[in-house]
Amino acid sequence: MCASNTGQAAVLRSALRKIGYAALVVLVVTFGVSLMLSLAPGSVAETILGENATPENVALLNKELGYDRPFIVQYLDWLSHAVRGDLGVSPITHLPVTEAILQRLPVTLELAVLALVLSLVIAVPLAIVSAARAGSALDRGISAATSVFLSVPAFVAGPVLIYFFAVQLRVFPALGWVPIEDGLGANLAAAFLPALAAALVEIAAFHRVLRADLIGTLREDFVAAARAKGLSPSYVMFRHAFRPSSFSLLTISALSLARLIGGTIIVETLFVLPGIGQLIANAVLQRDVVTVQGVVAFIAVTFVVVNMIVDVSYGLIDPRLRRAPAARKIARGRSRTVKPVQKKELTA
Amino acid sequence: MISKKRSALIALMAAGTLALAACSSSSAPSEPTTSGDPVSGGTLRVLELAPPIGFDPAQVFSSNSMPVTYTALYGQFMVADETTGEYVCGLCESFTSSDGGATYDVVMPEGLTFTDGTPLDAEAIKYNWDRLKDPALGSASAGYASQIDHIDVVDDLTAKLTLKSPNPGFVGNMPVYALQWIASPTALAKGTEEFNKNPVGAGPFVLDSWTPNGTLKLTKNPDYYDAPKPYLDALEIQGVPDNAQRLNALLSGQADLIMNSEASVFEEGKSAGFVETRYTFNGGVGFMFNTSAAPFDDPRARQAIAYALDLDALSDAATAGYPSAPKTLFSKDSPYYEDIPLQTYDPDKAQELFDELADEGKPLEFSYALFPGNGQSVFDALQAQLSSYDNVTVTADQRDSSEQGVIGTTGDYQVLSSSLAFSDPSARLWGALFSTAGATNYSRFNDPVTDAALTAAGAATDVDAKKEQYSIVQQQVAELDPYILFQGFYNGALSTEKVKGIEIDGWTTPPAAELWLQP
Repeated sequence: MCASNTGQAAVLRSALRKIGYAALVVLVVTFGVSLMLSLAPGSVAETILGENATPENVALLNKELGYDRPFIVQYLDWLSHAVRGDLGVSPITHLPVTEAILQRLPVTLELAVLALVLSLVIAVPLAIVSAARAGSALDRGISAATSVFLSVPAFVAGPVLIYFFAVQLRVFPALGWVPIEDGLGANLAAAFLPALAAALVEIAAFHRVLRADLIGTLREDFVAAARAKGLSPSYVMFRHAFRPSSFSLLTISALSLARLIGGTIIVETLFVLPGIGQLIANAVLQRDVVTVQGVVAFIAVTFVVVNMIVDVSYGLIDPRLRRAPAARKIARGRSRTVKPVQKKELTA
Repeated sequence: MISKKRSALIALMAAGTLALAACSSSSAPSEPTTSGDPVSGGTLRVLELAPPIGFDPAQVFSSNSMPVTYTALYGQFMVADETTGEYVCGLCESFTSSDGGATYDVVMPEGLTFTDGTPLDAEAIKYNWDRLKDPALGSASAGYASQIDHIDVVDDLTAKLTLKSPNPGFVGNMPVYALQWIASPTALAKGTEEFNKNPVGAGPFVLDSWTPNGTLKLTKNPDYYDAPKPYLDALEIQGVPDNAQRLNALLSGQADLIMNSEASVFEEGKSAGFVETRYTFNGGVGFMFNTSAAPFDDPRARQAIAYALDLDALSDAATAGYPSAPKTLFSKDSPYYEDIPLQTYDPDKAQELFDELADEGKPLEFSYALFPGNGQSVFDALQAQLSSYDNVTVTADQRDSSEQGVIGTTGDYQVLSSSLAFSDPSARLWGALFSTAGATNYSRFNDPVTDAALTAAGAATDVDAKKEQYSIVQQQVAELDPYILFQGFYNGALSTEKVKGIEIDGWTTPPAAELWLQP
């Protein structure tokens, strides 16, 4: 009984500590970004008023918008509203920032999920093939191809994809977004090239991480034992090697998803997609501090939440971690160092 | 060494690429056909230069970037005369001044209503233009609207504007600003956020749906006053700031019409078989000097730069191979065109002037205000050309893009790239060069001869008399160099052959009501 209470208290303390860290991350990130924007030359009033703006008009509008106050006062004012769920109203669009984020979230979310699914669908089989034939010409060929993907940034891949698939072949649109309610086919056609452009780098990263983990696992004694029992290579690969090799993949997949949800600024700009990336890019250019703060807070919270989900999911993959909280540290350390799961742990 | 297999693979890929290119060129549009009578129906897909951030006239940054969007919702309050470039009434019945621009009488036609049924009358005009002055709204047109001291509603259809100081060019500059767009006061009173969900004007189209930074869908206004216009059933508009992206969308068949102002894109579009509609503004883009402060308060400093620069080479560098340095202040299409060269390239004379200034203890050292974007290529070309002279040094003065609008008004610069493009000389040219024009005289140019000629041109009623005065202005600009123009300024469109009715005359065109699709 006493031990149970102590255990619950420990879990509660752990949860509170994590929430505290998460809040601190969000606070530091939003403060840092707001500070950087305040240090940048120019102001939202100058952007709004454009040509013919007199210094008097700029000063008047800055006062009207509250930007004549000290930075820390502005930030604390924003924060006091943000913790109550009010991210403010954009002085440029006159639209509540929460509404602006929610308007764009479906686009970015779909793009992120599609990019992640595409990455995994392509990278996992490639990694399995590479690991199964490690060192072969096929493995080297796949690794070389993914190296190309890794070294081609989205701002290069995007125009190349547009040129071939939109301008020359005319099989996908060059830009723009079609909501799902206007037809799933048209929606997927509009999303395919941006998702592929965003996925290319992820494919390379996923392939490399999973391949390395699989190769390490396949060299373990328990795999050799399984093979010695006469189990087929595919059975050994999928039943014995794949699961313990997927910690690192899970971690970087989750972080990729969080990053993609945070807005793929380049891809959204290249393909003119009305997503979170475009929202923050325009807000930065227009010195729309309120929108930038709101979107940054949203992105920070997304990262924190995804990290927490990853923590929890370790336990789902490896039941031992559910029983031993300290073992999660091992898992995290493992994912960071991309080490394969030790045979002894799994066969214990 | 390349193996045979690899060579074969490369050859195969090259052949494939050529085959793809051949396929695409065969599917490109052909030469335009004769337009014939307008036909009603169809949905036109348009890409404009920028996406709107909202439809409240107070939120309009640059109506020139989104002419189809705004003319669709609001119609055209003023329209450019295609011969003279001067603005005349569109939605209004008359807009006149009998006292040299101190006061104006705006008369509205009877029976004009917004799409919510409320009248577009003198009260609506007063409400809209007074509202733009509200600092809380932060309109980019606040400065221009503030030239109006007050508006009196004389009767239901007549509003009398009293300006703070006389401005004979007030009407001609209006279409550049949000005063061109008149919205329903009833709808505006609900607030900007609500208005953007249901914008109400008296234009040929009404809002169907809008995704910010996405697609704007508009449908025909069945009660449009100028039936049978509009001819189209619907418009689908998207704002795409990048030139290459707009062109790609046209090439891929994703758009029927794209707006464009870049010479290189016009050429690429034309070579792919699309139809070009281009309006060349008078004047152009060039170096603007702050003539009120050293070193360019001395005309010799400006003249030295003008003599020193090979503007065709500079234009070539700035436009990546599509030079368009204007030779004269008025384009050849203008009734005021005269062959008075704006600039003479004379390196020897330039060096003489640089040396003369140096001998007086004033070697020419100045900064060029550089903004993010393509300003860097202009600066690089400027610096490269001036480096071949002695006693002249130019340095980059890096600025933030948010300062771009305000820098001309504050005068916190020595030289920068700016536009002296205009269609109606009585307005924008007057505003840029008349000594007491106020905030719009960004170069702070002050020349009594130019002032007198601009005033006389504004007062003249026939084209010949105006032309005589504008030739004086042109001579003064060529002599005193408040601007050195190195690039033509265009408003235009590229379209498939089936798009008809594209009329581009100056700012805020083509009007949406005129567009139609050939079946």
